[in-house]
Amino acid sequence: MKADTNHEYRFMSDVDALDFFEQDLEAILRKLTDRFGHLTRDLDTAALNRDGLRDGSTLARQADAVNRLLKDSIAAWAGQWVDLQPAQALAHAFEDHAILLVFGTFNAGKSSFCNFLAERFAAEGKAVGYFHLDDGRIVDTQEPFREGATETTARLQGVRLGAKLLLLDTPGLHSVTPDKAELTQRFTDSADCVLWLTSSAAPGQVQELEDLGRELARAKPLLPVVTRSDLYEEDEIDGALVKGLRNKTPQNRAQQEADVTARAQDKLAAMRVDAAQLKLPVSISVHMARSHGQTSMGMEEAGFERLYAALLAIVEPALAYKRRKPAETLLHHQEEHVLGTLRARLLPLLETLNAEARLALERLAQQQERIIESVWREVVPVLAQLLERHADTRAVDRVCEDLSQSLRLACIQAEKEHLADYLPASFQGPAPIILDEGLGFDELLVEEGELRQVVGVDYARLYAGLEKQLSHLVLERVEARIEQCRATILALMNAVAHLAGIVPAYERDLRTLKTVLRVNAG
Amino acid sequence: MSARSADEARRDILAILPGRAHDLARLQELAQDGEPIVTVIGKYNHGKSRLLNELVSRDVFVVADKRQTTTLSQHLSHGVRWLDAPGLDADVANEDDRQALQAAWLKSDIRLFVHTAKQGELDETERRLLEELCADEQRTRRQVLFVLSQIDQLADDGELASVLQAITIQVPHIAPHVVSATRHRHGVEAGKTLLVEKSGMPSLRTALDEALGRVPAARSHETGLLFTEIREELQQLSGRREQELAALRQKQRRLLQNFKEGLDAVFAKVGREIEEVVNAPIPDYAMIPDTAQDKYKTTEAKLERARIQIGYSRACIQIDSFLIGQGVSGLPKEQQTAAGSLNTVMVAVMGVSVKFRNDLRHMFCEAPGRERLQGEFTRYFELSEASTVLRAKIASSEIELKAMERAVMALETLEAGA
Repeated sequence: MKADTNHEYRFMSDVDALDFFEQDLEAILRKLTDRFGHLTRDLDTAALNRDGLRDGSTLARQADAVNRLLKDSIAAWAGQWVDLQPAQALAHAFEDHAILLVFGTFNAGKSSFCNFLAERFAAEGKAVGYFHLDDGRIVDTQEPFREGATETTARLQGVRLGAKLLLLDTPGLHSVTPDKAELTQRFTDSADCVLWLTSSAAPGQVQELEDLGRELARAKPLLPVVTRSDLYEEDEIDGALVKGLRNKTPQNRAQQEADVTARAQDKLAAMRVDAAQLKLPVSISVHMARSHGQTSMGMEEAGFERLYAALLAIVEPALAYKRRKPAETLLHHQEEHVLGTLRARLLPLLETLNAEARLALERLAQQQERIIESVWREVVPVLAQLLERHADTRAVDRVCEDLSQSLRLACIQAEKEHLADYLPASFQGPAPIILDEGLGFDELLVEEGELRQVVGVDYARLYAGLEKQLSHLVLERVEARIEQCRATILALMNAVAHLAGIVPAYERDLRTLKTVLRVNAG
Repeated sequence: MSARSADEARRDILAILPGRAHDLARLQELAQDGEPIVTVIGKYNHGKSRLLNELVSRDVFVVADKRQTTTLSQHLSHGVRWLDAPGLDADVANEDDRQALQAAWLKSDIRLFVHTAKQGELDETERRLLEELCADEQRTRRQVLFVLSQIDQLADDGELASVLQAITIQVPHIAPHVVSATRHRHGVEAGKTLLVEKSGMPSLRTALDEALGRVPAARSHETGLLFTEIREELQQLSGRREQELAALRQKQRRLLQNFKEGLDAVFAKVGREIEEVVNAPIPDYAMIPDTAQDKYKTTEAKLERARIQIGYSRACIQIDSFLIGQGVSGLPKEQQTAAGSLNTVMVAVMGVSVKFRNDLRHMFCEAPGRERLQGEFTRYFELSEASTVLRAKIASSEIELKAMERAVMALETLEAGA
């Protein structure tokens, strides 16, 4: 194969000839920003009011948790947006470069891959410049990236290849040290395209496929690459162990690529991401390409011609992505951080709260009966005692007064016990007992001509009358009290429904804006 | 012990301790006392099947450079059952992982945890799994051998040393067996001793044989451990339940006693008051009909009836209010629908007929009458809602306790059969 016709040569010259032009994103950026402003205002005014509920009660605690989440989230979103600024600054610093992010687990051979491409560009006489990021600053260096059999890369580093291409090498994912992965995640949005590297030793593990799915969900051009597609063969010759590296066979590579594709498709289906975006993986061996002196034949056998062909195909989508990148970044932030929090944290809280509120409503009927029973059992014996005590003096007013007092105390006590989740009643009552017309202690008289003799005082009628009035007052009072509790819960449930309704509306609008962005700008 | 009775025994225990399902299944495995079981576990494509083939010296497990083993396959060889679990982290729906873990936890006496040297150090899921296996070894004495596989795929000893160093930092308490199954196969087939020796397989085989030798002791330790744990949990649980039941019964006794004492007091008081009425030093004129001829006597009779009426009505009010206070009857809603002031229990026990002096004497002043009334009221107390609820609670608590006793017996049955 002649040098000027191979994919590598074409890729290098195409990339150098790239023409970046800007796209007017002002309108869509403004719409996204406005929609977010609208959302935060909505959330701010939708904080749950839990008046009528006692502080320690389950519902009050849950409502407070919702309000706290709203407050914290609004602050957190601002912080997360600030955290994305270094990535945007980096994207801005290299706005005249196509930025390819090299992404993968800690042992996928990312640094070797970057170094090798740099070697190839250098071999073609292109300028190659390494740098790393130090606290957001770009620090140039002569040193290629460190490579090793174990985890080596702890910071974000990059290499310029020729005039218009940039490779970003990221710290590995899924290692035992999670902070580096977090650094990687924050910078993925600076890139125009992702090279998703997975080691041939066990390509496409579940966690890697999740990363792939997330990047595809962001509509980012992505090329899966199976790295380290080579193996050692060894022999014992004259009492010594002799090793030789060779490429994995084409059949072996095809098998691995098909397996990765199949499982990636499963994963994408599970994540509800459009599998049509998934590109076929390409197997390569940097090691083999290097050890075969980087000849055309060696490069091709190590898989690089296929890689360059795939890279050529992804340049156009990468440029399209680059043009809408500022809007994509804002959109991802809103989809993942904002909507993500609302869906993953707020909605479950609201659902729990709603279920709890429904239970509280159901409990009210029983609580009502318990309170009535408790008050009743308390005051009827008091009534009997009062009647007996005041029968001699017929002091019916004292009976009514004392009974009213007992009833009031019994209600307060029973409500405190059975409605512990609620604040005390906001109204007075129960109403004082007023005797029905004609009701009082009955004197039994025996008349004998002019002579009237009081035989005794009977209060059976008074007992019955007062008991009846008492039962009326208890029912009235407790029903009103329970009604108040019911109103408290219904108000809370209304507020919850209103708050929950904000989320799908926001989601719908984001989806519309996303379609506008990707279809019109795509 | 028959399989059926063992199944029943397990069901009885599970009914009480659903969280012990795994332990019971494990005990079932242990009770079979079959060949020692060795399971390989690790990520897919880390060379597990190839390693097993070398260990059994036969190509019984399928080997390929992609995800291959997707079901649990096994092979019996040299008195050992070898299990090849599907690789971890390959299956998107996690079915493979579930099978692999089930094999590791349920089936195996010895776990070979395999990690390929080509991937460098362990990743987070591997490290966590290995830590879990080691912790389980501490508890159950089921042994874990850590195998660093495919070392032929490293460039040289230097690379091996750096991988080992990184792994030692990750899991300092378990040293890996450094192994290449491919190198071993090659050496054996070509008769090359250096390859065989540097494959690490002979020393892994030795370590495995030693581990196999410890399996019987480990099994009996684990059997004892699981039985002890389950028994203790059952005892704790039934101890708590017994206490609860005792408390419920005590509450039941206390409430009944309170009721009876209260009722006694009411009847004592009412009895004294009625006694004054019925023992008044006048004839019992209430029995004499009014006649125009005897005006004086008529008046006396009226007086007498009035006194009896007042006495009886006050007695009823005292009893009625006491019953309401005890929750025996007469909630406001019933109160509003009931015809009179006295609630249905009062009517049922006292009747509606007009009472005369002798009636009152029998009812309140003489032991048999009083006892009859108090007995009736006590019966209604026991029919009251609160008493009924409490009784139901006690009954279900007793049933649960019975189930626990069955579980304890079931455990003894299992243990005797183990």
